[in-house]
Amino acid sequence: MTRRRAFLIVQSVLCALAAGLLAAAALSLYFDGAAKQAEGEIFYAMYTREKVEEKLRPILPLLLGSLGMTCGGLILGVRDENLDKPARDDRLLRDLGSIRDRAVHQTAAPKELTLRAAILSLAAVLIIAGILNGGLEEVLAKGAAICMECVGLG
Amino acid sequence: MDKTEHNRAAGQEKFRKPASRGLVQLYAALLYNANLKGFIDGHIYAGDLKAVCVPGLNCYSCPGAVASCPLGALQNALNAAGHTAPWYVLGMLALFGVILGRTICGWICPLGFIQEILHKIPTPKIRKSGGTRKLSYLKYGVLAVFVIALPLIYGVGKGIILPGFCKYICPAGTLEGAVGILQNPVNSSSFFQLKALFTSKWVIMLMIGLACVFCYRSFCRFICPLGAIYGFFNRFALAGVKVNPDRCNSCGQCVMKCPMDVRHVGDHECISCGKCISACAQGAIAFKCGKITLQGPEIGRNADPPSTIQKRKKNGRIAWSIAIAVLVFAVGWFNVIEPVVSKANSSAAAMPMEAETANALGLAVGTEIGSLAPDFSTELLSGETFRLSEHRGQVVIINFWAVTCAPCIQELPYYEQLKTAYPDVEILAVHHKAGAKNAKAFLADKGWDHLDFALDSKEKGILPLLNASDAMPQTIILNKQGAVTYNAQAPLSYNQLEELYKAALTDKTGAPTAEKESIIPKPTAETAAKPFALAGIGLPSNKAVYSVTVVDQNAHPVAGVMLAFCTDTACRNSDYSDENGKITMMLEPDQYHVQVVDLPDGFDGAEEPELYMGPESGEATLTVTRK
Repeated sequence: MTRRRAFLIVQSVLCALAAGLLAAAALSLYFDGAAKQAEGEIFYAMYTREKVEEKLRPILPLLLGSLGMTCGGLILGVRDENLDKPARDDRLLRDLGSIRDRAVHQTAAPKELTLRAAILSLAAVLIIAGILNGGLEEVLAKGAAICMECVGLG
Repeated sequence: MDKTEHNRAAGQEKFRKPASRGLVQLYAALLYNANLKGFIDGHIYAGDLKAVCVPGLNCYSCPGAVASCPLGALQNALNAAGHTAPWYVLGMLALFGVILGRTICGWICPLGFIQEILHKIPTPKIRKSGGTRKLSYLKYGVLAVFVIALPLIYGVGKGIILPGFCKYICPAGTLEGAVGILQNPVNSSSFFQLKALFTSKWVIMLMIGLACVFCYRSFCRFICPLGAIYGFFNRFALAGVKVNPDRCNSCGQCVMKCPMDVRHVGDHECISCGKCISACAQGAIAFKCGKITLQGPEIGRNADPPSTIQKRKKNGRIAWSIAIAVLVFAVGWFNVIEPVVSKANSSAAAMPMEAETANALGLAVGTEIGSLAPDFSTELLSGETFRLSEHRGQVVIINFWAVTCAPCIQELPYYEQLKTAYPDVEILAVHHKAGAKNAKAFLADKGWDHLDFALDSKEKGILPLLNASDAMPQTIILNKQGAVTYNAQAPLSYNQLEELYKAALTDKTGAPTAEKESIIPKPTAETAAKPFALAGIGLPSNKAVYSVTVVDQNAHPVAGVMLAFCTDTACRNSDYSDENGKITMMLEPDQYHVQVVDLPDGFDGAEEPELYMGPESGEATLTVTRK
């Protein structure tokens, strides 16, 4: 095994471990809290800043180690040597002959130009109709407050 | 070294990397999140620009976000499709799609930028294959189910707000929104709301992040429904990577070297990253916007003439100068000018009379726990006027809600239930003026006759006066004296609401006798930030119930007696005894010395001057002497 390969494997393990530990920390806080709430403590907070900090503290050295290795790897130019090899896709290789015809051409066909103009006009009409029917206000109402369920808080 | 070998294989002497793309991505991320002060003060931007969507995936609950997320707005619009057709958002998506297509993903999507940074972590990489190509169709399923079907079925069919993708999957919401909000100590109380939903979203975000380390743009390629939408427009989009068929020899280097799952240049998977431009030995590929070439072949066969390249570079420098000026203006506007203008326009201030009342009670005017809530008046939807000071002597609950907020909608029936069970409580539900039409439509058939509903503007009126949070629902509970006993952004269950109401009912903060007789522990900054660690309010988790029955010498119950429950360091005054002579207190388990504070006329003191109650909850009888 080359040193490069060993470096990449260690870095992979560190990344997976860091993600796994961060997920485990959250799950541990959640299950502890769920157990307390099941015991009837309806106001028990599953997460608090202090609890989160306490859980993150042991993971911090691993995260810093991983970050250090990442910086070192980027500076030394360590990368997967297979990255630039051609894609392993038989269907893709079979289709290569038709690439020229199927690719999006620099000079758009009249049909494409018409369609583009039609979509552009439709978009303008839809936006104006939306402004008139209160759609703009709807977007503002949603965006002006924190969407609790969107960010996972609510 | 590998790079050089690869370029030789492609028939090129040098490899030109489109380095400017990273800068454009960084620029877009900064421009979308120009409200930098939001990260410091912990509040999101709530100005009128939030009515506009940005092209890329950028959570509108991120403290820095200055405009809305198109995907979140689409789900919200589909949720509300029962009463407002989603034309506006569809129009915006069509406009972005037809002009830029998936160039947005490759150049101006902040989440795409984050994925590319993660992929730079040196690990073995998973290359594209037939498997990843099949997996790339998953995003169309995510689009159909989570973005279209769930919001439509729940919103139109059941009247329940469910932005399926945002709620269950979106890593941008977790990273930019949740982490962005929680990182600020000002929002420490938001931690109390985190439950199963956050846990699952956190784990999903980590898994997606990890996948991006090993597999290029995993989220973008396999999951992102916004990319799926823009993919439909890619073929007709004005901007994008395009092929000159006269130069192309179908060698396939462009497709094989492309990190995305494309079959040909510019198809629905192409994000116009431009890697194919440098991979093409024929100089057949260029990045164009209409007839303007933004990036063309600069080296090798069929390269553009030096004069064209120089002209393009000069135009690029001009474009960058304009772009930087726009960014500087945006940062200045959102962080310096706009806050000053908003503050000047705001008329929110406590009424002078309230300051006098607060001074008399020894309280500060404010919305922190233990402060006297500022007085205000507002017009209700019923047409009547609500004035807070007219409800002194009642427990008042003020709830901030929005028709677009699912937890708010789930919680509102509990307030109606509480009001039905305890008619003495006054409940005011306040909605932002934006979205008023939908709020009225929502309330029309609910029959919640016991609640008072009001509409208010975010710049003037109750919302700024009570320092309402950006997060909803928020509930403020005032005791009979108008002092704040609870203030938090969290959805409440009925049991929690009832407990908090009962606690406010017995809370004596601001009561004249309390001022003279007892020492009420003032909330610290730390406890004030925590919704459930309220100073002096009984909580079931760490409180015990102490019950005293006050009787006279003939064992008849005596009403109108106030007691003080004292430890070595502080006293808590009780409410007056009821007609059964009963006084109930929820206190921290401790040794309490119970003293008489106030007696009705005709009584001159307790028979036993010393009454002690132990750390465990319990009952006792106190006999007072009738003259």
